[in-house]
Amino acid sequence: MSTFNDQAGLKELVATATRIRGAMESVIEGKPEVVRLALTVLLAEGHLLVEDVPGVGKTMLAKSLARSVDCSVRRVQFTPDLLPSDITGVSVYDQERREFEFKPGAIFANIVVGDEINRASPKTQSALLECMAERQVTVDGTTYELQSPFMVIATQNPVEMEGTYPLPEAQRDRFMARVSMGYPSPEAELEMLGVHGTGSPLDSLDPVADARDIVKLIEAVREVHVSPGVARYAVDLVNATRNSAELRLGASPRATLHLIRAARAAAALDNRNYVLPDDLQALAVPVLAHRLLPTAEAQMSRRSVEQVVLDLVRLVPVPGGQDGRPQQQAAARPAPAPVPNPVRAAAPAPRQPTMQAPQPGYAAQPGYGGHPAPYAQPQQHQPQQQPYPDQSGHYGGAPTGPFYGNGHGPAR
Amino acid sequence: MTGRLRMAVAAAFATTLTSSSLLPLVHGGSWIAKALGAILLVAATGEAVRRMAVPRPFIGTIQLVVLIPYLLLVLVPGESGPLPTPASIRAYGDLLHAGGVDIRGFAPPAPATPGIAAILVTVVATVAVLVDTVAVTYAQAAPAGLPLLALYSVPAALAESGLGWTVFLLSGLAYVVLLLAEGRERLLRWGRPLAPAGAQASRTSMQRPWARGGGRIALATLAVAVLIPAVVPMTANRLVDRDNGDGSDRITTINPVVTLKNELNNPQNAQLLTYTTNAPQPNTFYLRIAALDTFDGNSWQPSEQPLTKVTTPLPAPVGLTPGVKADRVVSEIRAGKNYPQNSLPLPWAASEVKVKGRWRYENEGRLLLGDNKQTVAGQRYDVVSLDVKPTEEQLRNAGPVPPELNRYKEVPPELRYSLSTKTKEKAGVGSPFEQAARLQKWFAESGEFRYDTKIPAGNGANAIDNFMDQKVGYCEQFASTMAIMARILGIPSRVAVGFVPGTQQADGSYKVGSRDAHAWPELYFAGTGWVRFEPTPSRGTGPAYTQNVPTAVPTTQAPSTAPSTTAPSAAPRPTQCRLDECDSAKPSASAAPAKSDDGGGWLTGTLIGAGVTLVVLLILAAPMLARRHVRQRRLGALSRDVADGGGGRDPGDAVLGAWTETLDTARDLGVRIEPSETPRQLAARLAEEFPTDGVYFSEALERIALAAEQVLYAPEAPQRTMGLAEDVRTARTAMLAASPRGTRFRATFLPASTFRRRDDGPLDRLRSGRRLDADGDAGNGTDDRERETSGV
Repeated sequence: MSTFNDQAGLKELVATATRIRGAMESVIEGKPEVVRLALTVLLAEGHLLVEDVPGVGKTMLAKSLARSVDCSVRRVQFTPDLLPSDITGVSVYDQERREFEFKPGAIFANIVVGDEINRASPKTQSALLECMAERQVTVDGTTYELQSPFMVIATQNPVEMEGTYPLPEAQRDRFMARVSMGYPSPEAELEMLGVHGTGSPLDSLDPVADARDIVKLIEAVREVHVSPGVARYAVDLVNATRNSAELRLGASPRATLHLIRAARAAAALDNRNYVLPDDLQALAVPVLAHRLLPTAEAQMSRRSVEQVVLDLVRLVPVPGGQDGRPQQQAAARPAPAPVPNPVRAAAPAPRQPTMQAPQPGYAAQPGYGGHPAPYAQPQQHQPQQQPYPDQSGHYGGAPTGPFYGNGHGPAR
Repeated sequence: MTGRLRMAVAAAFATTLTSSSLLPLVHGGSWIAKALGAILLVAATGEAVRRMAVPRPFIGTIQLVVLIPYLLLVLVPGESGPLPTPASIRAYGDLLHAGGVDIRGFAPPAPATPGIAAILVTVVATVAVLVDTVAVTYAQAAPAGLPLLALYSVPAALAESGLGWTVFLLSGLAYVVLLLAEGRERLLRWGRPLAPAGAQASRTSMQRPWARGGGRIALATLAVAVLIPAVVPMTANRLVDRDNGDGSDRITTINPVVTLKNELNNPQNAQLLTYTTNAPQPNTFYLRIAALDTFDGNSWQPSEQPLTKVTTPLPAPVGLTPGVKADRVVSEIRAGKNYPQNSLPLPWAASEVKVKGRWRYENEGRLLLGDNKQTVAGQRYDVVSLDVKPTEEQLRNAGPVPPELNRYKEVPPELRYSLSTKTKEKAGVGSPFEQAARLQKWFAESGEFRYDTKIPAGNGANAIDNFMDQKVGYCEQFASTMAIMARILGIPSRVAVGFVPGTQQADGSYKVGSRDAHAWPELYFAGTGWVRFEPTPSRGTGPAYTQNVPTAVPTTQAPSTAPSTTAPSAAPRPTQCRLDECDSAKPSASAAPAKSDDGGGWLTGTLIGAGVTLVVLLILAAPMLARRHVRQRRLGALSRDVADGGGGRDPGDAVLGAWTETLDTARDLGVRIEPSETPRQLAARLAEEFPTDGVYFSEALERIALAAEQVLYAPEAPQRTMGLAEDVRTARTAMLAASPRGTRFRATFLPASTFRRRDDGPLDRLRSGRRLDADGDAGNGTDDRERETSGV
């Protein structure tokens, strides 16, 4: 039993995380829950999709996180003419040595900030698929491991749709969480005026941790205990999205995996070495909502996916919450070995269907903490998009080559 | 008005309408207001209790419990006020019993005596509870028709002419109202019906299309049900009526012996008949209304006999020869209005009857039966009868009986087997008449038999066996047993039902009450015909011709003299003694085990009352006691863990018990707990729902929730339960203090958590996701591990 070490690792984690949060919050005022979610995703080895209207600080969030941690940071501005090789890298012929030499692309960094990711063509977007899921890049038949930690923070603007290519389902499924910034409160905005008026707060931001720290933290997060009841609860939650009459597309097994991983990180940030159903409930909307597609009926009755997820959370029974049952604590006893996580043994995810019509706009803003954003955007603001007929064919843009692994386990 | 309230109103209305079917049974009375009050009380109680979210099985019980004081207050107001005491309950029981006697004593429509009123009010109240329970509490309007149907069908079966179509219409309407209310409720659950723009004003339910359709169908059905029988000849009676202008061949009479016991026990002794007569011996002036000539082993029944027109004079009595002396007796009989008997009470051997109405004559029993619902009620008629006075010699020397009377000799074999020894022993040898006279003497004068109307009614083989065994009975048993014994001896016999001579009034007329009802055997002797015997002690008068018959059997000698000294009432006397006097005069009274004397009865009543009260209290207190037991068990588990350091038990059990106990307390206080709420959410919500001044409550809650959370989700369960019991008590006290009094009361006496169904469906399996793991290694692995831990 490594209880003692766990506790020590946990303390260190909380201390480091508090420093990072403090640094980030000096830049992003009045959004502690967004900062927390970003940190959760970082510790859970996931990728973050930041989605909101322009000017609320999406890029600032990404950059502040990158700047707070002393690690390699690359920023990619996605444009329609961006090519996959710009991201993954390219082999160029060295005439002197008479061989091809690999020039790494922008993806070779600890934190990759992908700005306006939906402006790139689907071909380029798909170049991220392998990187994000498997943490490796395959160019010309050679596979290059990416560094650890590795995190993609992508931003996108849900309102301005001219000349954009909405992310395909497969791409969205690879993001652990989606967060929307939301407008700051008047007080925070006032404060921002005072600070930003003089200069960018990012300039004065000093790193408070380095990549090795983060790796250690990630290791600590992996030790957080998930009781079988809680794991079951996660599966039930995800299953509920698959069976909901209001959802056309439910969440994938990868979503279950992400949910549990994020919950571990959230529990660790709370200085807790076990996951609570509360963690799953709080993370259900950020982790699940962006992967789901509502049915036409749900759209017509103006129910956002976030509302549907919240209703499901309210329906699925919590393990043992109301009825202390004797059998439920059997697994709560000290286990001789690390508790097997049934979710990890989940069947390999089938390839996500890519023939789905693109999501017609992002109706409401997801908020962290299980509450709908206070300013749900009226649906009519988003022009109904026409499906892009050529979109499904754009997997050709993804790097091809030997397919290593099944794409579902975290790269270790 | 909520849907449930609407249903409650509809149920009360339906019960009220259906109660109208009781109206034709009684002549008005104040019971209607009391019954309506009971219906209102039931509806109001039901609505109030349902608002308190009491578990459904208890709502009906509470309604019944509330009804008891009301019924006591309304029906026996003088006794004790609303609180049920043994005295008032006994008074209520007596009232119901008196009502039962009255009901049997009167044919409908009966006067609304207090007893009958009590029964009616009780029945209506009970039906109201049933209808309310089924239709409102369980929201099933259609089955609620069953109690309504019961309420309707009993009067429908009892009322002689059937219930009128208006009553049928009202009762049918009641059911329709109930169904419509439910249909409306069910449809409105789907939302507001879409109405065309112009139809905004139509707001009543009947104007909505669905209600219009349903209402039309229901009304059409009712109309068809009322109209079709009116135009289509359906019943056999109607056809017979058309075919036979003179009157019926057959008339179904109610066997009067069935009601004999009730009439004898009727405390009111309703006056049925008065008569004047010039009979020389008025104490032998028996009036007959039935002759039961068939015995099938179970009971004496009148056989179906052909009916003829009433002639003047009537045919001569069967078997009477001119040699027998017969005095001509002229009588005038008046029947009370409350005596709807369809057989004309006549003295034996009536030869001329002057009576108005539709009467038919039955020669075998010499009876006049009312045709087409003709009854004697209110009639006044003159009778000329022959007071047949055979001499002993004539009877003793009677010849053989003609074979056509053999059907009067049939005895079931088993009865013949069980009785013949005794019969032969008591009857001795000699002529049939002597044997019969000895039997009469044995029954009436030996003192072996005791007259008591409190024994179960009956005249079948079982009753006769019991009677011969216990030697306790009343005229029904005496008459039927003697008739059977006569048949065993080969004497044709039958049981006549009617009245003993009445009590003489000041004006010389005689009054006959319901307690004068009587049954006696009639035996047939050639040359004389049917002859009356009187085996019943203390009732009526033995016929003169049997007075001097010597008893040939020595064993009957001694007892035959004994009664004359010890039981004066057993001697034939023209006057009747009151039943209780007869009983108290009997020396054998104390020997009867079933006999209830006054002191014992009071004690028994009190004990029964106390027992019933105790049982009711226990039933009412059962949820509270169960809840308290559970709480003490949980708290005890917590403190035990502290005491013996766990004692090998999993402290997690105790911690979860503390958490469940806290949640159950909240449930008792009406807090709804969703399955999707986590412990900390619940703790926060409870702290919000029960606002308290200090922070002790919310802190205690948090501690309990945190401990439970750790047990449920953490890798290691918390090892200490110290202070949790105190926290649970703190939380409970705070929650109770923050609740209104009514909620507190309900939480104490009707704790909702006691009635909570334990979930064990798919939901449960889902919730106990770790069960599989637990089953897998909980057997020995866990124990080993624990032992290791404790060893370290």
